[in-house]
Amino acid sequence: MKTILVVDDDEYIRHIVKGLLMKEGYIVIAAGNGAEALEILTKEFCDLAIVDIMMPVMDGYRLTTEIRKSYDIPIILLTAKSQIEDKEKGYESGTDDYLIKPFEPKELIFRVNALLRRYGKTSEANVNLGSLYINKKSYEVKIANKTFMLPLKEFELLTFLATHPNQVFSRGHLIEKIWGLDFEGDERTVDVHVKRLRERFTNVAEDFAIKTIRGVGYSLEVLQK
Amino acid sequence: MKMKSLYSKFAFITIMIMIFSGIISFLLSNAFYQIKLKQQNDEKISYFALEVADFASKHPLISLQDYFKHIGAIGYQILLVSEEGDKQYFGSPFRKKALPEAIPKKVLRGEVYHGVRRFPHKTFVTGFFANELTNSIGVPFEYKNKKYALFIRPDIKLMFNEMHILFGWLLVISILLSILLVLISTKYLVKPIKKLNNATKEIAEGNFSIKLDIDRKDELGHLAVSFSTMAKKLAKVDILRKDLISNITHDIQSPLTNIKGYLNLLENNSNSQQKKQQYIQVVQSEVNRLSNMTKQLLLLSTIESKKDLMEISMVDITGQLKSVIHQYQWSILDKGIMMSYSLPDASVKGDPALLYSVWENLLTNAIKYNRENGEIDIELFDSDLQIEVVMKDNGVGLDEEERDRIFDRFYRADASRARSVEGTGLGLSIVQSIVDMHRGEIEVTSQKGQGTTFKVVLPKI
Repeated sequence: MKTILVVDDDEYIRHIVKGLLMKEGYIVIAAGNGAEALEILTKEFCDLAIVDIMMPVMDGYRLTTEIRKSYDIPIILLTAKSQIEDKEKGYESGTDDYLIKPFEPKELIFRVNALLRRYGKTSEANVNLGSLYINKKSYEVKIANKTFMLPLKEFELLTFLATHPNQVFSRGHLIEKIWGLDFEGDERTVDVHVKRLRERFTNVAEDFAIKTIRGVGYSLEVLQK
Repeated sequence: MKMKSLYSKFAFITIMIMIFSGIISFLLSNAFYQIKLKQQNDEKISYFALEVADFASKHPLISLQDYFKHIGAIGYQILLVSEEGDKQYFGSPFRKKALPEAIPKKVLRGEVYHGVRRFPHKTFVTGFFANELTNSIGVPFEYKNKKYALFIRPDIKLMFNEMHILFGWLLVISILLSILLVLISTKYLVKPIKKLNNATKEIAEGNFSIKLDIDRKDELGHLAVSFSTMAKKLAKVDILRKDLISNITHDIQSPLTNIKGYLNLLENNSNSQQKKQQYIQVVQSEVNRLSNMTKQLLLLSTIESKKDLMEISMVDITGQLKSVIHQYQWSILDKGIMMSYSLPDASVKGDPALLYSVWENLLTNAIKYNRENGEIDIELFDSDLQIEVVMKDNGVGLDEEERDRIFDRFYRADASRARSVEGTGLGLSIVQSIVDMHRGEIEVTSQKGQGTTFKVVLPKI
């Protein structure tokens, strides 16, 4: 279970964010201002901090700088200002991500999940296969000069297959590896995702292809030109 | 006299001009007579006088009385002065008979008197018509060994009487006619202005469907055409405004109605926790809708007021595009869309906040009007003169009519779907005005069901 620190002087926002994150299964600690947040960090271990910019005593930029000095945790800045100048200031002070109020609950969850995934994987190797380059940290695929952002499951499927090129995997195996043991859908899901990946890369990548091995499953094959 | 109408002013001024130019031309022609014609006239009359005198002195058999009576009758005014100083007049009488005593004496001594030439300059008298004795030619002659002085001038009145009348009528008629025509033509000139004025009043009262029956090729005609165009545009704006108000009212009212309804349901404590959660979600999504709409309207009004005060600086377009992609990453991936891009570093001078909203609008459109598992591709081409951003999606696309209208304010393609997709119909007109402000160009190519491509070109200079 991961712990998230929420810092906002607005009690209502704190309440909403706390509710959203708890529903996703996170443990949430809330603080009403920067000083309180720094005090909490000395006592509790937090995996991620969500920080509001406009706060009395110590504003979000300063708090971010302070957190950066002593802790290696991802930070998301939260603000009502939509000016990009503020965004730049936020990134300068060391935030990892930025979220504008009012936000979609889905967006907050997406960003929290993405940041936590990225932070855990610093040591993991990236995949380099011919012209295909997969950055596991940023969840980006590069082919030649083009960067691709794939939907999560498609990315994970491609990454898994590319990590083991020319190896054949059964649908069940892929479901287990990518969707997890508690996935309730059927094996057709794999077919759909493979079909999409093929469609997306037909005209782009010429040195690899996902092959169907009849009766067995799928394999990513490196093509010799 | 106070003249309030353009008509009376115009007529008055024209008539004044006519009178003024009449006086000036009289003075000028008078001056011309004095300088140039007087001399000629003098020579001509001198020649007659000498001829008449010569004839008299050479024909002593003819009675002087009869001879001068005859000359007088055919159109000359004559004074005959004898050696003894006797004066005899022939022809019609002079209006002024005054003549200094010395002059006849001088003539009797043999000098020629050039009265016409010497006649003094008078501003408002044309020497030519002055019926005065001083304005005559005096010549000496001998008749039967007696000396005489002959003063003669043509009887202008007799000789030119009909012409006088003719010219008089000509003048009177042309003056009267000019005044009449000035009055009429002024009316003709001023009439369209009156019409335009009335039309302006109509527009001020909100009636944009005016028709101007002004068919002219001059400046007033152009003004009328421009005026009609303006009225048409105003009418269009008015319709759009009314549409906007009804759209906004609808778009604000319907979420508010929902919020109100669901809040009422929430007030009731007997609901299960799960149902309450559902209601809260509805309220939240409705609040989001309202929030988005106000943001768009705010941006539009910012642009309107910003037109003259752009904050120009070097804008890192690549950084902006990456930041927009990052901002909407969640909703892109949420829809299962694959995002691809190749963005070499490129910068251009412009207003960073405005350009950012160009990319934001284009990308959110590409997301909104995409399909499940669709694709969005952004490419940037950098050259010395310009940068080109191409955003391509394979979403719902547009037909030709929709494509021609997407930049119109408040226009939303596919009205049946528009209700279910958030938006105000302002996004692309915002985009276009920003691109225009940067002297750039925006192009759209699209095919129904195949997707849409927007190309934004921004000049570097």
